[in-house]
Amino acid sequence: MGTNANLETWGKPMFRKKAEARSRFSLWPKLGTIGLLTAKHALLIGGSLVMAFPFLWMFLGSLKLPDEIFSGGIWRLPSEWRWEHYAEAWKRAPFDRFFINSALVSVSTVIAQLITCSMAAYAFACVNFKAKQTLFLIFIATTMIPFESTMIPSYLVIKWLGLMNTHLAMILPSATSVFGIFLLRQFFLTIPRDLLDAAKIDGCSHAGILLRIVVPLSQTIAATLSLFAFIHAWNSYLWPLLVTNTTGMRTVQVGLRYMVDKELGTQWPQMLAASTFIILPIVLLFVFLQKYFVRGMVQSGLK
Amino acid sequence: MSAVRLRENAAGFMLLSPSLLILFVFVVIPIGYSACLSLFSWDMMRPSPTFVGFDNYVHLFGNPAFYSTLTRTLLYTVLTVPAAMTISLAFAILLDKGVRSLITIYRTLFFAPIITSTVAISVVWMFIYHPDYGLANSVLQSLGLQPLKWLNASSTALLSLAIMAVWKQIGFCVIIYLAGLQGIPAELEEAAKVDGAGRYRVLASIKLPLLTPTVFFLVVYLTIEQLQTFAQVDVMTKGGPAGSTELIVMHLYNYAFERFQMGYASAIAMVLLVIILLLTWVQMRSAGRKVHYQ
Repeated sequence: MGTNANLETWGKPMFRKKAEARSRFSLWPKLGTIGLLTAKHALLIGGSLVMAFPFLWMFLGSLKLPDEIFSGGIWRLPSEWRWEHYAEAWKRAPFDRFFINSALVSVSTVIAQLITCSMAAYAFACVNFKAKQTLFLIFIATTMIPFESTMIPSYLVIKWLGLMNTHLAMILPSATSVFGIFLLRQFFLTIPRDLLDAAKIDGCSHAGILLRIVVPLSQTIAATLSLFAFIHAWNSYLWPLLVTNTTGMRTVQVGLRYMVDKELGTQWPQMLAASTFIILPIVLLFVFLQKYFVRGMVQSGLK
Repeated sequence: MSAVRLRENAAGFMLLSPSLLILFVFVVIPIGYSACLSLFSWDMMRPSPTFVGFDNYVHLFGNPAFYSTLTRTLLYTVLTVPAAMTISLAFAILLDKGVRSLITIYRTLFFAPIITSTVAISVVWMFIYHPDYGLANSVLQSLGLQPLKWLNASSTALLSLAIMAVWKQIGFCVIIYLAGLQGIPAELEEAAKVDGAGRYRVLASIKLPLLTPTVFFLVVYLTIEQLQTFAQVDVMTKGGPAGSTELIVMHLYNYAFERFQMGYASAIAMVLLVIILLLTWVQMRSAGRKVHYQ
């Protein structure tokens, strides 16, 4: 008996709630939500098109005939896809040299930063030495100094060292990075102290702890740092422009800049093709490693 | 005990030495060197610089060209920073929540301009600004407006550079805003909703006030970035037409590496340094006081 009564009353509020719910989420509010969502995505699609359009236009332009670029209307697809513009652009300037130089400089910068930054970050995070706080402050303080105000003396230092027009001249000033040290240090501080202490008690030296415990644990953060260092080195322009003076030592950025000077207004498809292939390595890296990128960006912004 | 201490000290300095060396050779010593050089006159051909005291600074502050460079750089910054920050705030709010895969695609597209090289982007924008066939003019014409000469006229060249800079910086601002938005504790929003606050009320009374430290950081950071603009100017206009886009780093570069007046150029470098340090100092002071935290 009791259970029956319970069942009856148990069903009713449920039903009432459902009815209420139906009226609350009737067609109008739902249409409102859909409208808002549509507006949101319309804005986002519009925004991302504005962001992406120059790239799309660069790519399509690089495949068009020169006449078509100027007279065919900007919205039209190429009537024939002239992939040979890429080969022509590549041959118009020694882009194989430029690519080798850029790749060599960028990869060396990444390796150098991984080594120097992990050593310094380990010192700041896990070693108790004199003047640690002061040195850390000095390191952080150097990030406030703009490159442009040290560029003349840095150029003179490179000249004095006899390194003008060498790969080393392009690598050395960025062979370490305070941002990288900071990024790694923040991560190293999260490694459990007990782990490091245990290794120390077992007689492991600092070098041993760094190489056998800390480094193997830090692969993701090292990936973030590598990506940043690579993008920065690949895209840098002013410093490579200053310390190189022969075509054979130019990087892709400086090489493209010289192509602009020579060909302005005459060979647009080739110039756009060259722009496309010099950003391609970065775009590919970014597409595959996006999450590392965002992490580093936020860290660099919020330090 | 002291042996352990000694060993720790040695290990610390050993580990720091590569970074320390590079920072000293390419940052710390150059700053001092640059400060000294600004008191000398030197064209790099002569073996030794001549001491001239504060003459370079006197010339600098008496030179109308330097003032117009500074004003121009300031104008460029004012044209760029607020626009980039407002536009990207709207997009960051839209990108804060939603279907994950879609959001990822949008974010990728927004970030594309910041990761690609300024030189390559400049080539594309020169094409966009082409006075006869460029995209910018066909957009104007489709809106029924007169075409402009963009980079080729001194009245519009700086504006053209600023528009491209806004486009390029939006992605960075969006990332930083998103980090700020996602740092706001969910309980605050839920508590407000329980109290009956709607979507817009939450945005106006909770999210935006809590974003003020982010906004302040972005203002200073972007201003410093814009003060250092060089690559796009060098590729697109080289400071022209008629000097209308000669920003401060271009000015510095010209004096140092075109005219080889190293002392005078160092004085410009010192002024740039002082401006940037002042901005950083303001940023750090306010970060200490925390403009508005929970």
